[in-house]
Amino acid sequence: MKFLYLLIFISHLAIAQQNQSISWGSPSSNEWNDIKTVISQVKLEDHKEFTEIVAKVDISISKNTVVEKITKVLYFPDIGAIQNNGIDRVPFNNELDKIKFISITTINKNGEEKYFSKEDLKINDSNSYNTFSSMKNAVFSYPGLTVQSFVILSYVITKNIEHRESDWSREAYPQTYYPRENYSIKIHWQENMAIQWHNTSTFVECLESNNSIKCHGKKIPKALSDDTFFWADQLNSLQIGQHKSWNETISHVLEKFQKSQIDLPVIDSFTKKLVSNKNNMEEKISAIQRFVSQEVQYISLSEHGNAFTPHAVSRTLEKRMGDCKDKSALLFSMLTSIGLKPYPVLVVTDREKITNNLQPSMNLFDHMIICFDAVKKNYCIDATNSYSDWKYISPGIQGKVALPLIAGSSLINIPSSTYFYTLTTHSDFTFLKDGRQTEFQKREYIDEYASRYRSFFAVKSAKEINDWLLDNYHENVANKPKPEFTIDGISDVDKKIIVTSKAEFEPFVDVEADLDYIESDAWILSELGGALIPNKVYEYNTKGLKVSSTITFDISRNWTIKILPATTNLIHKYGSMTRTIRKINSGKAEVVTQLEIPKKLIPFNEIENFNSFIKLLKQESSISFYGEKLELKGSSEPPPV
Amino acid sequence: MQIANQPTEVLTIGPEVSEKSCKQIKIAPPRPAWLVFSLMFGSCGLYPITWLFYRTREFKFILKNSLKPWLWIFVPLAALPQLFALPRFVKDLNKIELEANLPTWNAWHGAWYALVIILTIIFNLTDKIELPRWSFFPFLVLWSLLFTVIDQRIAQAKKVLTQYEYKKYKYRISKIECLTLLIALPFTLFLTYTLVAPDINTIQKLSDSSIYTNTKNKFTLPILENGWVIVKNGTHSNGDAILELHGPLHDMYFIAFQYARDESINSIMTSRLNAIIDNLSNANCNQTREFSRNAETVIAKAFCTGTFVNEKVIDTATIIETKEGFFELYGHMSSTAKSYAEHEKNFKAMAAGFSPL
Repeated sequence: MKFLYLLIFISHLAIAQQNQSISWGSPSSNEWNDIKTVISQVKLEDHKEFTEIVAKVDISISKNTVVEKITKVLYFPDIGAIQNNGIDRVPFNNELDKIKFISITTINKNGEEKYFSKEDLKINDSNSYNTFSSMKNAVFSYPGLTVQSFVILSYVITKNIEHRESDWSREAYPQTYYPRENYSIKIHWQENMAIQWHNTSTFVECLESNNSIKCHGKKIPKALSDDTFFWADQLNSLQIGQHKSWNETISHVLEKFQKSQIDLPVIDSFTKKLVSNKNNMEEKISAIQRFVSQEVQYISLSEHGNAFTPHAVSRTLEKRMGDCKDKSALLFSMLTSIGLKPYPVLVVTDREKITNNLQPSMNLFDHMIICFDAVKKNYCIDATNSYSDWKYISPGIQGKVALPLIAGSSLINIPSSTYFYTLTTHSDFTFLKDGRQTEFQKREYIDEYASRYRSFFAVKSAKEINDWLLDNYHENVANKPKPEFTIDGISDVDKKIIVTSKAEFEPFVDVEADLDYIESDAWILSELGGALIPNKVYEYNTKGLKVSSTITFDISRNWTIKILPATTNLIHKYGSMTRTIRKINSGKAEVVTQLEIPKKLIPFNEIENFNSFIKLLKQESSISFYGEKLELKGSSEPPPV
Repeated sequence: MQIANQPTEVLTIGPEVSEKSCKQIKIAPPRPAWLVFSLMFGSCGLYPITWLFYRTREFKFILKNSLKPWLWIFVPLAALPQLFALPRFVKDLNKIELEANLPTWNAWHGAWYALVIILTIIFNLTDKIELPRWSFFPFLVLWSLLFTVIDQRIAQAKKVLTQYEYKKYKYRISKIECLTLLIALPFTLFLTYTLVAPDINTIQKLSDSSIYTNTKNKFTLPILENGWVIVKNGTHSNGDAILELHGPLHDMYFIAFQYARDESINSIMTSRLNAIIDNLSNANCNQTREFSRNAETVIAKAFCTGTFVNEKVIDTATIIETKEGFFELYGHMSSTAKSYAEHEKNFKAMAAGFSPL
């Protein structure tokens, strides 16, 4: 009986311990006095914005655990700083990590101290509604914050690295979106441990000694923000990790990935049935891609054990659900069963730049796709994208940093299309005898651009789509007519998205006078508007734009064309816009415009030039011509066209 | 007393014609050389057409011959008939001089015929060959002098032959001649001025294969032939231009204009093309748009070809944008087919080469 009581006690203790990932402590008096001394020396007039007065990170690495002690002294000069930074969070793995809060204390400008009540600490999931993992956030607000307050935040997080699925690594950014006065990071590891580190930041100086590094920086300015950029691409960092090479990372991930490849006969049988009526390899790949991307629902069950390890493919097939790695694993097994040799590729969705000394680690990546060679080309499928065809790379991953899980590989950029936005337009404008104008338009969005529109339209009703098309027409073409729209290609990923419209304009020109006419090439103008780079600070990857526009003007009922529109031959290092004119008859002409702006990395010091180029193209996108009033010859019938 | 220049032989005076066939006419009175020269010169050399008509009509009346005066209106225009007509005319003049007991004119031993015929040939060749623009003035003066000389021979005879009834003009000139002189003389003077103006107004000569650079307005223009000169503003424009260049042909020039910032390339080009098309027959225009050398601005170019008074014409418009505003280079070349073909390529290349500095 005593043994039974002991067993119950131990099990309760274990449960209690498990629920107690978070504990509380207090700073030593020396530590507290040191911090208060620092605060007393701060010249408030020097800090007009939210500032980290002290940022101190001490990391101690042993074989099974990593202990990180973080100490921050924050200064809140005004209400804005309080509103923007008054709430903080500490991410942690609730199954492997333990946090001990030492101080969450506010000292206001009168020297009064306010302490955080542990009952006010909240834990939330770090992910969205369909993503579940062991990663949680300990969320807290700084107590009693008022203008010119200081906050002292100190905690220790102990990470169990023995049972982690991935390696341990840490990427620290000395420069962040607020200024730092004093930044220091110390790392110490046990003997016989091979810890790798790289520093690319110029704001800290690092010294390595026996089993440790110490980095210090002072007065680090805040990083400038911009419209479109990835922090990881633009900010330099200090990286620490365990892997010596990408090969080590690859072998670790492949080991996890292979665990999903079980019950393969089930997959094989299902796949053969799925492709039984397909005639060639392309059709088989299409069938598999559509099944995995469209019929397997996206849900991420990435709790501990499946953070890096895909679920068994048989389970994913049976339950018809999974995340990127689950779907990739299933896709991998199905493509294998039709005779292909696919391979998984890890993807970083928030990096586009490959730096030479990036520390190898599994933690760098947050996505997985499958690539393979077929019909003499290399293809990559993002199984989480339900709206793209496999013959081009999904819009969301083009150009992203990736690691093919093939021995000997290193980081690559996923190929991106030269022209991401590809569009052809046809417009016919006919001026009627009484001055009304009829307009027929046809727009064809191709490949990635079609995928973008498909994903946008797929979640809308027919009425919502029509309303959006009407708004879009009013915004780009004309605001009075109410055209009739048709749209095709939403449900077929291998088709173009084709939008047609028919509109009629009330008379707006004097049919008794000569016609001095100017018309914008609406869709070229619209696309060029989107091609302007919004960035002011950082370089920008343009995605590539290709528009082929054909416009026919028929003014033959009232006028003859006296001055044709200008041909254009605007060739630039950033792209080109060429326009040819064909006079079909005395009153009808066809204007064909080819706009090509290939993808390009535009350095920040060239952004102004690039935007000037786009603005010139916008200016030249308009089409002007002059029609001479026809001599009346007693007939009201239009001349033959 | 013997008359010094008594002819040695008696000339027969034309075929016998009945008096009934000769209409009674009044003969133009003899007029001073300066007045005749003014009519010849002032009518831009066209006066000999009517002059010959009236003089042959007078000859026909005096000599009772079978001349057809209306046919003589074509004589000043064609060299071949002149080979026969001019000696005949001088021969009739000699008969009248004999009647007036005056020494006969030997037409400078044929040099007069030769000069008239050569000038007529040159005049006819101007449809094919572009002559130097300075040649117009001496050409016109010489042409006018030649006919003034012969007119004065006739006038001398008229002064002696008093038996005929002469027209009486208040100011020695008929109303129609007076009107012609009033209208044509300013035109001739203007034409003469326009032809010599580039020479008179030349500010700077430009050499072949050089680049004209306007540092103030920050544009350049390649010079691709010898003979181009910068001329005073107003030589070809109404004075609004900022630069005028005259070319090696007499109707070949470029004019640069500056436009305000609130204009646009489209608006400038549209108004220019409308003006060009209104002035040209069979106009055919092509417009192009290209980037400037530094690709910071767009250059609009238009080339219009057509005809004007049977001459081939090319009008060009090149519009650029600089920090100082919009600038247009308007070009015009009108010439004979041969000269047009010789100069067209370089002319178009110059127009196309107008670009921001």
